[in-house]
Amino acid sequence: MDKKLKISGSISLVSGLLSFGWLIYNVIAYQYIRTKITNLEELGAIAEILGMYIGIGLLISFFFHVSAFFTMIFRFQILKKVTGLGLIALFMGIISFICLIGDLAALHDIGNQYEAGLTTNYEWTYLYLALIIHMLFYVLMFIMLYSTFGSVKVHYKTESAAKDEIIFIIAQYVGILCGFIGLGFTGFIVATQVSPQVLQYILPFYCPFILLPYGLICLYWIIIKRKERLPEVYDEKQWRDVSKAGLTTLLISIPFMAILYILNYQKMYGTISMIWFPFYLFLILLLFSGSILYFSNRM
Amino acid sequence: MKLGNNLKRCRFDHDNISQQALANAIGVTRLTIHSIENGKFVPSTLLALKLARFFGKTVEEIFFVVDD
Repeated sequence: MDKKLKISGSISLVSGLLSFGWLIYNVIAYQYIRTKITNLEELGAIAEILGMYIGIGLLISFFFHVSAFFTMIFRFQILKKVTGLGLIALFMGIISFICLIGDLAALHDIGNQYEAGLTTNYEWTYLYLALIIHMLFYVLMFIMLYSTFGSVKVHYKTESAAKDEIIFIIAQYVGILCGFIGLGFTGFIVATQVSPQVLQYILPFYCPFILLPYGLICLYWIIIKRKERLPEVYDEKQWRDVSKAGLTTLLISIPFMAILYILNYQKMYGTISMIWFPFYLFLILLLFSGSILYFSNRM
Repeated sequence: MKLGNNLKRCRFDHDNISQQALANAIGVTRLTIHSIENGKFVPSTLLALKLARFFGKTVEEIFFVVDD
């Protein structure tokens, strides 16, 4: 088996088992804290300790998600094909990873709402939904790790590629998902009319966090390109696909941005003046990655 | 008019070389070779010459024009 896959797989397995234990712990801790908060009882010192351990668990979970992400990328690279299960696991992993920042925000909100004597039902609903998403990803990842340690040895005997194509394709899938989630979240901000005062604290966190998986795979792709030591970064067909995707993105994004400009001009929503750039960023990421994938498969 | 090719046959005649091995030798991705063979991608003159040189043939022996 490839050395980097073996190392990242082992790290993922250990951190996965550790953070899975923490996930079980979170279920119990959430239940305990929720009962106290709902009954408006004093939280006391034990709740603070529970909260601290939840925080440590989130850190380990963050580490697990990053190592699992690279394990999946290495696995795709060695198998040289995009499998359905692999793609589902990758998508679930990214969604679960983005939910981690939601977990942090929800826990922070619960603390503030509790002190202000407000209801925390929405935050708890989110936390339990996120727990289900995390659990699903953990199960999928354990299946992936089992098959990675069990079967990749056979596939590894296939010819190696001098010029990468699989990471290029996977990066487009990641771009589509990140763009889609980003657009969804931006839409949610507009629909719920989040105030600009709150937005200025949310924006610097949610944009980079949603874009992080795409940034990581692009970084890995750059490393691969440096290792290839070939004069051309893309080959002819990739250049053509990227060019066509660029033109498609330009043509489709203009009407969308025009609508946004008109909405902003008429000041229908105050928040649009703040979210136009994240909207643009996620829209072009979705369109660009989607068109590359379309052209590389179809044309 | 379309561009036809004998790339698959050339690979077969050349010790049944795989798409990946040919792609590595030419410096392109396997998907590019696959797309050329299926007529989905028209290669540049440079790439056509590289392929011809690899198989020891002329460009016309590998690529030809197909009338509609």
